Amino acid sequence: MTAATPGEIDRVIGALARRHGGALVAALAGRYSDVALADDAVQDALVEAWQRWPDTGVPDNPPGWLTTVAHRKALDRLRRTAAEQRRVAAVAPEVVARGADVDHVRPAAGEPGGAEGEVTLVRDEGQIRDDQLRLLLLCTHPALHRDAQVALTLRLVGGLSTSEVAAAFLVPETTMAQRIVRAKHKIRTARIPLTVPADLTGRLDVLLTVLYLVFNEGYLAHGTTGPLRVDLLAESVRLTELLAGLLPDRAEVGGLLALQWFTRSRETTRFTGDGDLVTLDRQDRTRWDRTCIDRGNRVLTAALRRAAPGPFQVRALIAGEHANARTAADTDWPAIVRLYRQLVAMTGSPVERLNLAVATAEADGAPAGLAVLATISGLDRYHLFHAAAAELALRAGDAAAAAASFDRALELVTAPAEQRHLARRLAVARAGVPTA
Amino acid sequence: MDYMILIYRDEADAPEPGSPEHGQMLAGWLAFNQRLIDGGHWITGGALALSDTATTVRLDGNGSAPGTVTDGPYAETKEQLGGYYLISAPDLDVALELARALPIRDASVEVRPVASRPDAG
Repeated sequence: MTAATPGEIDRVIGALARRHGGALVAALAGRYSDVALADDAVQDALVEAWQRWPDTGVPDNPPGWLTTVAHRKALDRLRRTAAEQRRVAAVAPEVVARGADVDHVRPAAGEPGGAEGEVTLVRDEGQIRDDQLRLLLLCTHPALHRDAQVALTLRLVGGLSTSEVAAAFLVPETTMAQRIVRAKHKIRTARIPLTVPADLTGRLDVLLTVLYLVFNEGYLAHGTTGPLRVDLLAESVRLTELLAGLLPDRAEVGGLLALQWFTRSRETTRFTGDGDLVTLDRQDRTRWDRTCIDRGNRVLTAALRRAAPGPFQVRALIAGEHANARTAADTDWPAIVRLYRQLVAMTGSPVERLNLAVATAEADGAPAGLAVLATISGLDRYHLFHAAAAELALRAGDAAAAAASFDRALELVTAPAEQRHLARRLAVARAGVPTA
Repeated sequence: MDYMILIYRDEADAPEPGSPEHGQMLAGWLAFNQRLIDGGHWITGGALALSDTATTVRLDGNGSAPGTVTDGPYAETKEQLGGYYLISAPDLDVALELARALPIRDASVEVRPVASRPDAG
């Protein structure tokens, strides 16, 4: 046992939950085919750690302690449920007759059942990997709402607490708790299985989309990070690395991971010390993190070698073009235009078409970019659409149109740093409008 | 576990009885039914008459008042409930796979677990 201050204990438990919580939920869920039970048991164990460690000190082997206690908590819960069902059966047998599920109160084969004493959760390496993949796929099952997929992934696989997930997405903790409870209820009631489907590709697409969403949220949230806000960028990288370890043959997983490393290389240059936005062409490239870029290059090369193209690899290629250009002027815009064309063809996404318009303006001039922009529909409520339209109009010499578009972008923007940036650009545009 | 499969589709899309398309459609449903039977999924199922034959009974208040009867389906939507299956499946993925295999296009299919069935103790 190690003595520690309450603050240290909080940190130890938080780190323990993040590093081992997901694997433990996965293992217990695999063992008892019940994700809600597994999650509750791990939470029970964490609560016990919070209650006991300030007195007893931190045990020598915290992950081992957590595993043993969580497993005991799972058995406690199973026994309580079984006892409840027996009580109900005694007074109202018809309730238990069919509707209630007796399956998941029965310990799995080989389990000592209700035996007291030390319980261990022995899962071999292969089983653990299987358990984790199945849990990731369950959290991102298409029968669950997208918000619930994100919440469950961070909560169950990422080991974040409900309040951390709530803070990360700027929603009240009660809302997030309800979202998670509702999702767990559906998993149990509709019996969403903890399995790896025969055809993994479609399900993997959803899983990657969820991780990409977490990543984007982390990317956009920069500058609003308070003491409670976890670093979603770091979390998405961690989860994608986990997935890459589980599915090393899937090129798109590598694509998403490489994209994240390239983006992370610019973490310290995207904003000034005052939290103001610095556009890509004005960033100090000597301060880009080479280690991140090298990792991105390595992961992307390995992914491309699998010859299984997909949108995440294309996005990573684009991010790599930027990351590997020594100066903004060195950027190979024609190559980027070609890549965005591929991406538009693959995804049909209007947001990617917007990126294509911006890249086209860089490669072939503002009028060419504006021509691509004119083909976009469905982004009227997206501030970056209007911001891009404004920048291209300004470059094409139409300050009045630029000012109008910056105005519209400012009506829609929410992030403070972006808001300040747009306000500055609007002032530039207005200064260029000839007065009558 | 039992799942209810509720099939909603545009009633105007139905092929003319006696036409070759109609024959193909029937063969499709027969094959699907056989798949349910062979897989041990079949409990029951049926096609409904068109929604213009539906009658809705609205039960209000404490239940002592007689229900108000109105002509027409519960909700006047473009896609109407046209048929159902009650199936048995080990989990939602199997139920969803069967729903995807329905011999019908341009339809919305709701899959719901059955919470309790007094007739199947």
